Amino acid sequence: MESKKPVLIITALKSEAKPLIEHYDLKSDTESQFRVYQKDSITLLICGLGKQKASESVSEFLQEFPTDYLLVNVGIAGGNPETTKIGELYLIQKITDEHTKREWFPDVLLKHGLKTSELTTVDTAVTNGSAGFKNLVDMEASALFEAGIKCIPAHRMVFLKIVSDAMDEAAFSGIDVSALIEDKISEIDSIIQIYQNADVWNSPILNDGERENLSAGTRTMKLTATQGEELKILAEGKKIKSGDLTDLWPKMEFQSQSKKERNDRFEQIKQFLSS
Amino acid sequence: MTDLSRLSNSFLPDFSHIYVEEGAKDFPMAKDILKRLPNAEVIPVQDYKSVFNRSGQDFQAQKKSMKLILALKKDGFLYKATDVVQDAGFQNFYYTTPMLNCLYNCRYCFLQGMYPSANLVVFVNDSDFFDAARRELDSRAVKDEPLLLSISYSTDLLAFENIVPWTRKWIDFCKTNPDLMLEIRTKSALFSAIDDVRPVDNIILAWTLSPNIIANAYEWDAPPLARRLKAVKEAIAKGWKVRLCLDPVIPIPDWEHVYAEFIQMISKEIPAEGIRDITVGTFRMGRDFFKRARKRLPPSDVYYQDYEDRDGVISLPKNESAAIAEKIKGQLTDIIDENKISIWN
Repeated sequence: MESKKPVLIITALKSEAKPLIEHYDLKSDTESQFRVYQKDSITLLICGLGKQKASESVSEFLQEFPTDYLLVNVGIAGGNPETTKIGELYLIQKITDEHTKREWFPDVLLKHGLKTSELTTVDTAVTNGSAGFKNLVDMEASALFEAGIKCIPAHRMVFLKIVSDAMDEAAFSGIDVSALIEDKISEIDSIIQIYQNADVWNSPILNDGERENLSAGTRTMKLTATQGEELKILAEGKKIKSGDLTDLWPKMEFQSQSKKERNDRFEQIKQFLSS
Repeated sequence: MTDLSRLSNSFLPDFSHIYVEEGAKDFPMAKDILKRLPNAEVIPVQDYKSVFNRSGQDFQAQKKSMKLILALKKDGFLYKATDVVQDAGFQNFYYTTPMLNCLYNCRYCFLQGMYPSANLVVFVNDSDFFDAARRELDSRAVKDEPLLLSISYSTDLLAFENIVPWTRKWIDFCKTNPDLMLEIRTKSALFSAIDDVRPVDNIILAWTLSPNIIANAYEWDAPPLARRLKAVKEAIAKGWKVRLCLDPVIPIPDWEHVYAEFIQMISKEIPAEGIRDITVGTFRMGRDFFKRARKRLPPSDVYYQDYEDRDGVISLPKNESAAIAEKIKGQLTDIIDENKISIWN
C-alpha cells in the first residue's frame, strides 16, 4: 500500500498546536533544533509569533528537510465582524502583506467545502477594531507563504484560519485558542485527507533507485557534468518509451582509463538509450 | 483525449475562481464575463502578473482546475511574427495575444514552456487592440500587401467564444478593414458560436486536424477528430473556405499508414472545393520553451526524440522532417492542388 503523502502543519503558537498534537498523537522531537512534533506522515512545526520568526523557522526547516510536503498553516485570526464570524474556519485564497503590499495566492484546485476569505498579514496585532481590514488579519501567513513557495508549489499550500476575535482583543489571554482549534479539528483533518488523496503530487520520471544508479554510474565513468545531464535526459526518454532501465546499469559499470575510453563508452550508452 | 484526473470529482471546476485586475473590472467585457460565470469566486488583484507570473506554480496541476484572470493589456498589442509561425508568404505578418493560454493541453504545445501558469488571462480592453491594429495597418512596411494577423497564437480563441466573444469582435473589426487578413486557428468544435457570421474573404478560419490516434495521445482536452471535422463541414456549408493545418505531423510508429488513412478520411468527409489551402508542419519549438516544457510532469515522449537544435529551434533533423512533409504532401495532392499546400519544417 502506498504510504501517505507528507504533511507539514505550521502553527505560530503552542496553544494552536496542542489540539493537533493530541489529535494526530504527535511526539516531540526533543533532539531537533526546531519545535517540531511528528508521527507517520504528519509533521507539526511551531514557528513562533510574527513574520520574522515564521520566515526564519520555515526557511531553515525546509532547507534541512526538503521534503515534497503539503504545507498547512493552521491558526487563529482577527476577523471583521461584518464579513466573518468568530469560531468559523476559513480557507484563505489571497494573502496581502500590509507592510510590503505584496499579494500571495495559494492555488485552490480542490473542492474543500469550507468558507473562504482573503487575509492581511500585519506587523503588529490589530486591537482597535477592524477599521481598514475588510476580512481577516494574522501575523504570519505572508511570511510563511514567501518562505514556503521556495520549496513547495502554490497548489500544496493551504492556509486555514479560525476567527478568534473582532480585532479588538489586546491580548490572547482572554481567548481559548486551543478550544477554537479543537472545535474545527475534523474539518482540518478532512482537508488534509483531501489533499493527501488527490492527484496533486508529481512523481518524477526516474525513481529514487534509478537516480542513485545514474549518479553512481556517472561517478564511476567519470562523466563530465554536461555528459551526466545528457545521460539523465536520455535515460528519462528511455524510461518513458520502454518503461525499463535494467539494461542500462551494467553498461555504466565501466572505469575508464582515459578521456577517449570514457567518451567512447558514453557514445555507446547514448546509442543504446536512443534506440 | 481527456485528462482523466480532471474528471475526478475532487477538483474544482474550471473557472471556479476569477482574478480581476483592479483597472479591468469596469470594462464591459469584464462585466460580461463575470455575468456569464456567476458562481465563480471573484478575487481582486493589483496587477495580473502577481497571479500569472508568480513563482511556485505547477502548470499541469493547474490544468486540472484552470482559473480565469481578467486584465488590461498595457502595451505590446501586436507582435511581428517569429520564424516558428507559418507566414504563408506574407511580409506584413503579425500576431496578437488577446488571451494567454488555452483550454486545451496539447502535449506538444509551446505554451507549457512559454508561460509559468496554466491559468487563462483574458485582456478586456478590446478597443486598445483595435486601435493598435489600425496603427499597424497604416504603417505597415509593404503597403501593397495586406497585414496578416494571427489572433489565436497564444490561445484557441474560438474554443472560448461562449465565455469571451473575442473572435466575433475581431471578425467585426476585420469586416471594416479590408487591408487586414485575419487567421483564426483552432481545434475547437465551436463553429456554432459564429455560424451566423457571413463568410468574409479576408478572414481565414483554420482548423488543426490530427489522426485520431495522435489526437488521443497528444491533444488532451481538445475535441476529438470527428467533432472538429463536423465543425469544418458546418463552416464550409455556410460558405467559408477553410484552411486545414496538419501541424505538427508526429512520426509515431507506422505514421505513413496512419496519415494515409487520415488523409483519405479527410478527402471523404470534407468537400475539396471548401478547402482554401492546407499547411503541413512537423514538431518545432524554441529551445528555452522546449527545455521548460520537458521538465513539466507528466512526461511526454514528444520531448524525448532525436531532435536537432536549428538556431535555437528544436526540430526533427532537417532531412527527416522534409521527408515526412513531402510524403504527406504527396498524399494531399489527391485532395488539393499542389500549389495550395504549404510546408513548414
